[in-house]
Amino acid sequence: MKPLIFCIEDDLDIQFLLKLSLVNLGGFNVLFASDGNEALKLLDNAKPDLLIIDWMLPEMNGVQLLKKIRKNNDYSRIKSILLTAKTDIKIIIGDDCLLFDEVIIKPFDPLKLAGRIAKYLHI
Amino acid sequence: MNIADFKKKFNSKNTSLVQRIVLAFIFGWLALIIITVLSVNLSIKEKVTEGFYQSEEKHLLMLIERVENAFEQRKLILQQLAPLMLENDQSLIEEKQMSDVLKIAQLSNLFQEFVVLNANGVSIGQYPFNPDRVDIDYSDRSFVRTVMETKQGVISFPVLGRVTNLPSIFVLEPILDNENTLLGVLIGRVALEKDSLFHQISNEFVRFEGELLILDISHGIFIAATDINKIMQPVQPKSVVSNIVDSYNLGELYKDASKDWIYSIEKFNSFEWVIINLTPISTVTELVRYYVVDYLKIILPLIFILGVIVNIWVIRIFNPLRHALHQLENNLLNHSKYSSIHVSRADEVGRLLMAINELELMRDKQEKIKEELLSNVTHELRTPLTAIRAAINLLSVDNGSISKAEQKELIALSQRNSDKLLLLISDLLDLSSLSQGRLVLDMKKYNLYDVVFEAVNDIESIAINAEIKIYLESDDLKVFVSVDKFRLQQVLFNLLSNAIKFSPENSTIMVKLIVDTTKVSVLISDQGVGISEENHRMIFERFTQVDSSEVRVKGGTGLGLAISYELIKEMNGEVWLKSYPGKGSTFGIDLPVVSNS
Repeated sequence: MKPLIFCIEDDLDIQFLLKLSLVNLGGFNVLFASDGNEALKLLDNAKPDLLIIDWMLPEMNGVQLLKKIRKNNDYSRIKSILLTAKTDIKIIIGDDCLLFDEVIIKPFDPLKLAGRIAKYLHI
Repeated sequence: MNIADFKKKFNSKNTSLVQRIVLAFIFGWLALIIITVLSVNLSIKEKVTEGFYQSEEKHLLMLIERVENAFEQRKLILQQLAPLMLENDQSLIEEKQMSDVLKIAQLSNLFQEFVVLNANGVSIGQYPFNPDRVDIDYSDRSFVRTVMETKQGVISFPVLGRVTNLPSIFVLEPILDNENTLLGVLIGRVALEKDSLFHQISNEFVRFEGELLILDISHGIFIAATDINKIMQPVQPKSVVSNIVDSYNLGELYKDASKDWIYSIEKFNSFEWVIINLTPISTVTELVRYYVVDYLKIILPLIFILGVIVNIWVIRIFNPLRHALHQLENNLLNHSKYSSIHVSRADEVGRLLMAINELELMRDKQEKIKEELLSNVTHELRTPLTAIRAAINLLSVDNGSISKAEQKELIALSQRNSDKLLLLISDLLDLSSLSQGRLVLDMKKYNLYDVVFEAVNDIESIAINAEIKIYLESDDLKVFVSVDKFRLQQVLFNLLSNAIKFSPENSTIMVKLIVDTTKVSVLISDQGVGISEENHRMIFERFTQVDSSEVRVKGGTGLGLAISYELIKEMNGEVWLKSYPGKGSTFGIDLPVVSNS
């Protein structure tokens, strides 16, 4: 069974790039949401193995979303990666960095992304 | 000039405010002390001198009384003795008897000698016996004659005794029979150089190296003096004593060769005499100094302690300021994070410190805003760049995992994002130039209506795509403004595309031109969600949109309104907003009207 990567990212271009990186190159399955509310709704039915969350989302930011997701017992320990173009993200969110298994600062290398994710999925 | 230089430059001048105040206080205190000492000195001197004169006066009056009483006493004795010289009140007794009576009288020690004269003024009896005094004619003495003529008792002026040659005062009493015929004269001699009365007086009175004098002023001679050699000496004209007698005032006087004297003088009542007491002025000044020192011994330490206390108090007033200064300078020198200065009192110093605190907070805030801005800018630039790089990386994969269609999409994506990046960079540069006042505008006269018409046309297609209608209305079809056409179109495009972005489908956007006497307004009204009052200001700031600063920009660079605002300002106009949540928004551009000449 191919692992399911759930990406919450509102920029459609980035969504497209992520799809190519993860599906075409990585061989994963992907699911997309453009904002936090949509993401929470989709989580009712989907069973992702890993989350990639963009920091800049409408209405709630990436950290707030992860915290909400974690409230659900099923996902309290789900692997998550924060994706952001903010170079000073660590200053902005402080200790909340530690909620994520990894923080990736854009630009990301699509050729290597799949490899990095695989590590977290113990493949 | 920074703090370190400032300090170095002024170090040598030692301009500590506190030190100067303390010095001023010390100076004031010293002045106070000097004034105190001087005034105390002065007032005590007055008091002492005054008291001195008063006690001197009392003494002298007392002495006068004693001397006069003494002479009174002597006169009485003689008055009692005179009849005893008579036999049966009719004739003089024998010489031998006289001697006996006088001997007894002499025991009183009031007179040195007694002499009895007959009615012609020749001595017929005496005690103690002196052979030179037998049968001497005394009638040439004026006071003898006076007695003989007036038949009254007399006290002579000081003379040298004829026989003794000693300074003497004679007390004379007539010897009268019961028919008041003068039978003789009874004389008693008061020895001036020996008489216990005067000696007693001068001994008593001598103190502090002073001098006691009794003068007969009608004859100008000394009767008694502390210095025995003065007795019977004439008073020299223009001498200290002579001057005193002439002026007859109490007062500080006189420079002698060696001393300054102050004197007291009183007149006798029964005689033409005066009594003078001379005291060296040093006596009085000694006394004054004594009292002054006594007084100052208490006052000066008090003043000193008070001075110290006040000084400490004043210094302490400045302590918060110095403490705060120290803290402030440390902050600046060490570039450490500003910690608010603690203010405990709302006085001038306190208010100054509060103002500094405020300033620092403002500066801090501005720093934060700058940092945030920088962070936002880098973020905004990185995003399209990310897309471009990733797209290029994916395009380099040629193992077939990426389809041709997908590759085409990657190329389009790259183009889109590089356009976006370009736009962003030019907007940023515009904004930077505007804020430094370096943007150059090409201002020319245009018909505003034409420019707006063009802009509305250009955006038509986007509006149609979003299923939004745009209507244009105007009071005048010709209204002229002085603008940079390219930039004005940039602003109009920004406002119109915003309106389209934030309008729901099938809604209308109204563009209206309203002409005034001095200005023309372009109003762009949409039927979108509206903007609350508190957000009005914020949306003109960079990179912000309503919701929160964390929200993703809804297309566009987020700089449009900020740039529009600045551009119109440069064209001497104004961009404003009227909006209420739920009631849509109206953005307005005001521009000054120019004439068509």
